[in-house]
Amino acid sequence: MTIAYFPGCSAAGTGREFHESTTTLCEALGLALVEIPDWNCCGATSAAVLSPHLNVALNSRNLKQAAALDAPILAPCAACYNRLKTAQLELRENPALAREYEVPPRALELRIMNLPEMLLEYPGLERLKEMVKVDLSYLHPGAYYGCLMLRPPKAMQFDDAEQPTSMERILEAVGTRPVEWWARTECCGASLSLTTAKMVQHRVGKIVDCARRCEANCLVAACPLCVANLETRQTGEEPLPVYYLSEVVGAALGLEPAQLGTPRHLLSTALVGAKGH
Amino acid sequence: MTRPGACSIIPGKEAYLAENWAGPVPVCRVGKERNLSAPEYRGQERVLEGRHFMRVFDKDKESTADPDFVALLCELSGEDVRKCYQCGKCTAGCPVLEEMDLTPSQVMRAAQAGLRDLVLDSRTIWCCAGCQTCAARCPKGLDLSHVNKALASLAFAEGRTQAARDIAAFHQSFMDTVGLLGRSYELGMIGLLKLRTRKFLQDVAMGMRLFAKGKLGLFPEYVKGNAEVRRLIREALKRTREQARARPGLPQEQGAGGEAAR
Ligand code: SF4
Ligand code: SF4
Repeated sequence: MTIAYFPGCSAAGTGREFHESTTTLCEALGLALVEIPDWNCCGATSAAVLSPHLNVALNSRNLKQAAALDAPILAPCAACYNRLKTAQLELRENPALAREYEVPPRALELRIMNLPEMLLEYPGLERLKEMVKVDLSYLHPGAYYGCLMLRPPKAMQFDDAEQPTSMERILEAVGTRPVEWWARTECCGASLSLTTAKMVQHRVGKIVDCARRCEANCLVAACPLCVANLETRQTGEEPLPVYYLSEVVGAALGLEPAQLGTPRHLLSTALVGAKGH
Repeated sequence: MTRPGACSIIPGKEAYLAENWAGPVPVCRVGKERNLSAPEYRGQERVLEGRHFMRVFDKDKESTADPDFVALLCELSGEDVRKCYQCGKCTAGCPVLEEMDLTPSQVMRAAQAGLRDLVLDSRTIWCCAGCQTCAARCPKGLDLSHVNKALASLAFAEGRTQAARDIAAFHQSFMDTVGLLGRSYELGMIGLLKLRTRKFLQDVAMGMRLFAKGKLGLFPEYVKGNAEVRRLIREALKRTREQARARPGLPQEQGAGGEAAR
């Protein structure tokens, strides 16, 4: 099974362990990740602030580049996923725009997936369960969805926007015990982290507090911006560890922490309770 | 004119209904009691401390309504701003309220009323995190992130970023690196941001920690087709400026936006 991979800019920077764990995990799952040739930045949270046309402009090029591979696209970063999918929808609804940007019809049909979405299908929950090698039942993660994977629901069409379950289902399948909590879809403050750090600290504080009160012993997310904020803007003595979904699934499958990028975390560089920690 | 009542946003809080341009608007009162209709508050923008705030609008002062503004905003944002019926759901769920001066629903109401200066100079349009919680909940199917970002792009094109210079500088620095390389590059972006905001020491320790973990690339990755990306950015910015200019109420020779593409 070939998957067109859109790593996103953070793969070379703050989200490096997400990139490393995703590629290692896909290899173990027998999925052939092929990087979309010469992809460009999706525009993240900034493009639309400078011009409402920028999202479609930037991602029309990405979709064109992906069309050559003709495989479903995996965009693990929630922002990339959101921007690609929004642009694709806009181009699909407005054929004149698609012609203007010379986006081939094939590119408008390509499936765009986020990480949990992909795992639910390739390999699927049953197969994941069979592949588990390491007992992670000591992990009680709070699955944190954040915003961009789910919203706006009419464009994302993925899971329930207010009560999602996909990450919990995956985490349960690989043997962890996800907790029930409510701040799962609360915004972390996104890119305001660099300019209004106080506000982001406040948001992150609330999210972490809720997870703790619901007896989570770590947070698991699938967005590099969320993880960066949750890791860097936690205050307090004993911060709650934060991991990527791909790391936890990979660890359950018996993959090495170093390959999964786990030592790169700022807070906890090993899965809590793991041997030697 | 103010009347006390129960706050519709935060349960258990006392609120006032302030009469203003939009009819009665519910606001929360925290801290010291104030007579919002006292002469010293007329036309004054921010009268309450903390997280809960309001503006007292002076009908005479806000007389610069632009009747064409709402049409321009609908065109730019792709959202029919006129549909908003002020239920306040967007405001109730907005995560960044504490940073805002107008609430998200107040922005909608002000835009409907054509109060372009009020919304273009507000901090709210920059603080919107784009989380789209409002989009998931608005009973009229409106996405306020589109509205706020379209307003920010207008404010940007007019060079009026004084309400949140740091945030505007962040977005500009981000897109500058994308215009240059075709991808964003954290270290370069942060460098540009620090030059623009002159806050050189902020978060330096954090940067060192990231660096030690191999998470701040020393060398940027770039896209072979970066000239094409640059052209796409330039054209999108140009299109926004033209749309904005095609409507009355804008100064003709403006346009600070677009350094990213130049
Ligand atoms: S939720 Fe929608 S209709 Fe209600 S106030 Fe906000 S924008 Fe208006
Ligand atoms: S998208 Fe903006 S206005 Fe809407 S809830 Fe999020 S931060 Fe508030």
